[in-house]
Amino acid sequence: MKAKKRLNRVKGLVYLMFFIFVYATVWAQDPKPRAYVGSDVCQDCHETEYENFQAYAKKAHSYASINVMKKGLTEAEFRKCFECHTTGYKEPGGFRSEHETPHLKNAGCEVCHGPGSLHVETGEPKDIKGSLTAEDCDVCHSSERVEAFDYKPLIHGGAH
Amino acid sequence: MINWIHELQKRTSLRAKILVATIVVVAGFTGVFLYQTVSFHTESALNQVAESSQGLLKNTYSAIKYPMSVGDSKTVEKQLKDIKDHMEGVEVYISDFQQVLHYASEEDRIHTSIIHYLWEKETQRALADALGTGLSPNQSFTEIRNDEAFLVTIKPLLNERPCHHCHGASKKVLGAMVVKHPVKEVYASLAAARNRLIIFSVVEIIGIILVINFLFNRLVTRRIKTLAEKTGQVSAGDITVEVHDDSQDSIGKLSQNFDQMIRNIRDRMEYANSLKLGISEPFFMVDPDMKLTYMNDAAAKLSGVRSENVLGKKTCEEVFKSDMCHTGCPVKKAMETGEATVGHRVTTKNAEGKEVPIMASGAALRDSAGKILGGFEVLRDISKEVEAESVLRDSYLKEEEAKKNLQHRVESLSDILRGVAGGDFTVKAEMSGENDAMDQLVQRTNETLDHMEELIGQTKRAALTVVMGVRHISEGNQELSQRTQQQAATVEETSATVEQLVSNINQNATNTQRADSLSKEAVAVAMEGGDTVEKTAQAMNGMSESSRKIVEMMDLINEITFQTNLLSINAAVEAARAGEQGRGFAVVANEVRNLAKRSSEASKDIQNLVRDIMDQVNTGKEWVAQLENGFKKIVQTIKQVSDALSEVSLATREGSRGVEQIGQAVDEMGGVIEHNASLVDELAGATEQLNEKAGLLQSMTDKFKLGDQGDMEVEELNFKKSYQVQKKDRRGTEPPTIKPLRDELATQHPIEDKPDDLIEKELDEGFEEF
Repeated sequence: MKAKKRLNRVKGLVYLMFFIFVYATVWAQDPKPRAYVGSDVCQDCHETEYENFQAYAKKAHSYASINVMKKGLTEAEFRKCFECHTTGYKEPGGFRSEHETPHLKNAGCEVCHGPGSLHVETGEPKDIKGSLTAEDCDVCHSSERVEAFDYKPLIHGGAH
Repeated sequence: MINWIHELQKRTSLRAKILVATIVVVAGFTGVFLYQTVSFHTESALNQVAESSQGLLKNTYSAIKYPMSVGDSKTVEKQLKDIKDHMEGVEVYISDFQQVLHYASEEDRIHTSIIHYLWEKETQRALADALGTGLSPNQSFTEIRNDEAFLVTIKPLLNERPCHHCHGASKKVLGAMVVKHPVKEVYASLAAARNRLIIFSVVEIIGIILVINFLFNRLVTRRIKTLAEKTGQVSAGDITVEVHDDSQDSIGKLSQNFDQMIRNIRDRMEYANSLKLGISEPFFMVDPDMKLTYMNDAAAKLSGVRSENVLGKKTCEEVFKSDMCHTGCPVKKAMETGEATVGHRVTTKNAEGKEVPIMASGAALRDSAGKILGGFEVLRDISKEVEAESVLRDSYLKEEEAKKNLQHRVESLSDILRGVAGGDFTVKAEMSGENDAMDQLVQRTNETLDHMEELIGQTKRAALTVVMGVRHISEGNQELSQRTQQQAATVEETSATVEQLVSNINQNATNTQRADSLSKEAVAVAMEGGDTVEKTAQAMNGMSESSRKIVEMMDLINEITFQTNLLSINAAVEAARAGEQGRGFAVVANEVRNLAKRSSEASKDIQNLVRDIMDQVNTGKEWVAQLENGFKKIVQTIKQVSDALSEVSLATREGSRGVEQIGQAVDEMGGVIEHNASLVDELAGATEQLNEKAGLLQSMTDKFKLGDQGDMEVEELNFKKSYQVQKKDRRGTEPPTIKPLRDELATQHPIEDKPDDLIEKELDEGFEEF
């Protein structure tokens, strides 16, 4: 009996090593892993757009809006705010908390243009979403929020 | 305490009491009115301020609702600042659910607790309740501290749908809005009004009290005081006082009633004195110690003393020395029991020492409280009454004896009347010979009994007469019934005969009609024969004409034959001329001549034959003419027969209708007879009832026993009820002859059961009258 149990353990170990090997091979073959880098990184190349965004867009300091309401909210309600008031929450390399990812606590450039790590590395325009549509805004600017705050996407108004 | 108040009440004058009561009542009512007025004004003013606060709160909430819903804090702060700038003293606070201020018209108070600015516990509790339940308080709250006064209005801010974006949906209440409205000036105004009202009320109270006190003194106190003085005099024994007050109010009537009461007391005292003096019998009064206090002249005369010598000094026993003083003094007994004693008959001695029978009555004298103050006694001399009493006793004994005698005679008369009541008239009452009212009564009674006896005897005879009369009626009724029955049978036979007659007449009518129809058929046949004869005559005429034409034709044939013969001669001549060649023709001509001869002969035969025929035809025509005339006569005769038969048939129908009318008359006669029979039945029933009544009358009269002159034996008559005829409706169902009950009646002869002599006697006596 002991010999049979030992044989099963060896078999399980062999299968585990096989799956790890396959997963590592696939991951190693992705040449362009993407992550959120924060709006400040964009400033070097897109100075004008960055300043306009910081001066006129409420998104640039959106975390303060939820932070002031934190006192009257439950933890779940407060985390629910992160989905639209921070950058990349619940996504790989996105916002996790104000303490861990302070550069992503406001809704920055990557909320609309997507993760910018690859674009930063290559400098290629094709590595980031350049032209946007209104559907990209609907993620947060839903009809419910438009009704509550009367917010309108500034995509057609030249936000930056 | 209570005793002290009672003593104070007793010692205080009426005027002071009324004054105090007036002060208490007026001040009490005015105080309540004042309190209600001030409360109403205060409440009304505060309600107005509360409504103003509510309006301010609603307006403020409406103004900041939208900025708050979109997170526009600056606009909210600006709105509150405007309120502070434009509404002096008004404070507006907006706190979260933890009562921490987030917005305030006083900017320096933001982020502090609102509890610091709500002074009253009640207001703080109301805010906590509003934050917990989400319901607005029903009222505003007044807060007063030092010189400041506010009216606080609270409104909870609910977590509505537009709020969920920032505040989440987990909390029901997000916070509250509180408005503090300054009411210091309102309170100052209310206090001033209250003070004015109090001053006016005090002045009013004092004025009312003074007026009431003045009027009460004039209208009540002074007059009652006068009345009290007068009553004091009366209670002191002075009943000569008089009160003059002609007012028609209660005190005036009280004074008048008091005056009338004093007069009544005086009248009653005079009345009592008059009674005392008016008693003519010996009368005296004693005190509880039996000492004389009053005695009239009659008593003094009876006792032989002078009243002024004994009043208040001696007892009644010492004065009157009666035997009842020890056995049963009426006045003493009355004073002991408290009840009046009457009818004590005793003997006393008068001034001459003679015994006098007297009737003594005594009674106690009481005051208004029932306390016995003494007694009085009336002594009545009954010497004359005692004498009259002995006379009455003798009269009574005599009356008792006469009464017993009378009772005996009445009882004997009653026994006789009892016998009369039982129907016995044989006994008569006897007279005593005293020729008094009782004898007259006995005589009248005997006369009455004699008359009644005679009357009952007559009644008996009359009843017997009635019974016999009923019997004769019954017999007559029976014979009438039989005759009616026979009459009905006869009518029925007549009816049957009439019916048979009707049947025969109808048969005759039928036969006549048949003969009439046969005669008409014979007329038709005869007329047809006439037509045939006429046609035969016409045929005979035709034959005669034809024969004449045949004769004419035969003449023509003869002519032809002659010509033919002539021709044949000519032909023979010609043939002879021709010689040999004409020989054949001569033969033919010869043959023709022969034929002509034969034809001539034949035509002559025919002509003769035809002439014979014509003669025979003419003879036939004459016969036929005769035959036609015969037929015409036959037709005429038969028509006459038919007319005669029609007349017979008409007469027969009329006869039939007449006989039918006879039959209807007979039926009606049968109905009349049946009705008569039912009347006879009813008469029998009525006779039976009459018989019963007569028997009842007879039995009633038999109860009376009469003397020789009025009594008579009458045989008991008993009519059988078989006279009764069963009533039926024979008109529609049964023939009148079928009446078995009548047959039964016919066999009965109730009158045969009676003695003939009695019947004859009764017939002689009264049946004719009946």
